[in-house]
Amino acid sequence: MSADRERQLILQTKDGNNDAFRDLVELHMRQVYDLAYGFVNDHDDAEDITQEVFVKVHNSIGSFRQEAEFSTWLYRITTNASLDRLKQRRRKTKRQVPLEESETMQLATNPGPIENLDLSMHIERALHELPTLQRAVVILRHIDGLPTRKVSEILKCSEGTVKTHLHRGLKKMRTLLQYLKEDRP
Amino acid sequence: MKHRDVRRFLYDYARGDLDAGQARRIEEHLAGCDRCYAEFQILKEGMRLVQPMKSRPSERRSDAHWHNVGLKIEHRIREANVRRPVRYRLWQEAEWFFLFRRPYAIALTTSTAMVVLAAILWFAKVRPELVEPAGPAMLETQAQTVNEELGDYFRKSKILLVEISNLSVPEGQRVDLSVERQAARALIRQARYFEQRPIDARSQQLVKTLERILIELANMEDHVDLPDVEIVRGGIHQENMLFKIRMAEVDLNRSARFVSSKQD
Repeated sequence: MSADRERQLILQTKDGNNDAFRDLVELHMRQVYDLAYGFVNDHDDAEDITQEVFVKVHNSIGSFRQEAEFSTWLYRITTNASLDRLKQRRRKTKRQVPLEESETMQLATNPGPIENLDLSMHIERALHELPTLQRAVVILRHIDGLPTRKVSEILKCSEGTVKTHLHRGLKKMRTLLQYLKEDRP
Repeated sequence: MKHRDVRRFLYDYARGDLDAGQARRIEEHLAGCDRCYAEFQILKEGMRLVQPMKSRPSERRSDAHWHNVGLKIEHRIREANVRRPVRYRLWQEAEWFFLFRRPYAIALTTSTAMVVLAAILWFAKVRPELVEPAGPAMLETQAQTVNEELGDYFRKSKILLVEISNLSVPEGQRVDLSVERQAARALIRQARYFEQRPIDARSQQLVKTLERILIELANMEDHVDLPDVEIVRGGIHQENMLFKIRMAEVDLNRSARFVSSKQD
């Protein structure tokens, strides 16, 4: 879909056209879900965040000025909602038995047979070991393939900060996944 | 090229985003620096590992599923068609700022703390009169104001109690006391205010006794008959309230005259 068509849909949605909003949802739903999944690593949570994001978009599209790209705005809302979800989850796990922690320890010390797990699963798990900011930049830059400039716009920080976090994040990923290299013939 | 500069551009170099000149300078440094070269290898390895993640999790779900998600979104919009308050949005923005712009957040917090500290020091050193306890002249003025307020309170209470004492209620009929009850409530509020003010023990005792009678009056119904009114009247006469109020007023007038003569 062209940028013009998207702009038209946004204007129509602002005017209260539900069909136009439905088209916008259809157009971006999967991207939002993928990004949210990158953060939360859970299908149900990612789907819930997707719904939440579009409710927010619907409620605040009136305040969206078309100087910025719609996708940047949408990604910012998604990142925000995902980080909120992670925060809630952390609060919950603090109160409960730290199951995820034991899982993490297993990942670091005894990864199990690699053949049984898809490589991408190992990567996903390692990705979720990264601190919030590093994870956000790695997901946006490497998983979603966004340019550094756009990542800095979404996270509202400088490109230098994004690169620093990318550097650190990738280094940590490599350390966490060192065992894959060692186990392979 | 310094190690620090090389590390700064290492990510761009690994992605091939640098121009030829910069890339050559980094290559030259890497050729002669084992530490930076090792760092570069780690970074490249990390990038290589993240590559397989290019598959989209959304592809694991069917089109029918996505159609359902669309319907659920519409349902949620209909259900929660309420905007978040501005306060919540501001809080979100502040949270975002402190999370992603940490250096700025630290600078902002530090400068705010310094401004507050400077203000405290200024008040303590430059304007000591604002933080020092009030002098005798100020205390005298305060006492005079409280005495005037107390005099006003006693005058209003006296009018109300005289009205209740002189109220004529025919046997078997009811009278409307809603206005008197309202006045009693206002006076009770004023009595509570005097609890926090520096007044002499005798006036304090009188205010308390008066408050009990006023509460009794405020708790009555709007329309009362003679026995109800007699209960309040009994309290007024038993405590000799009107006499006590008159005496208190005389005392207050005397002290007011003493203060004004001293000022003259």
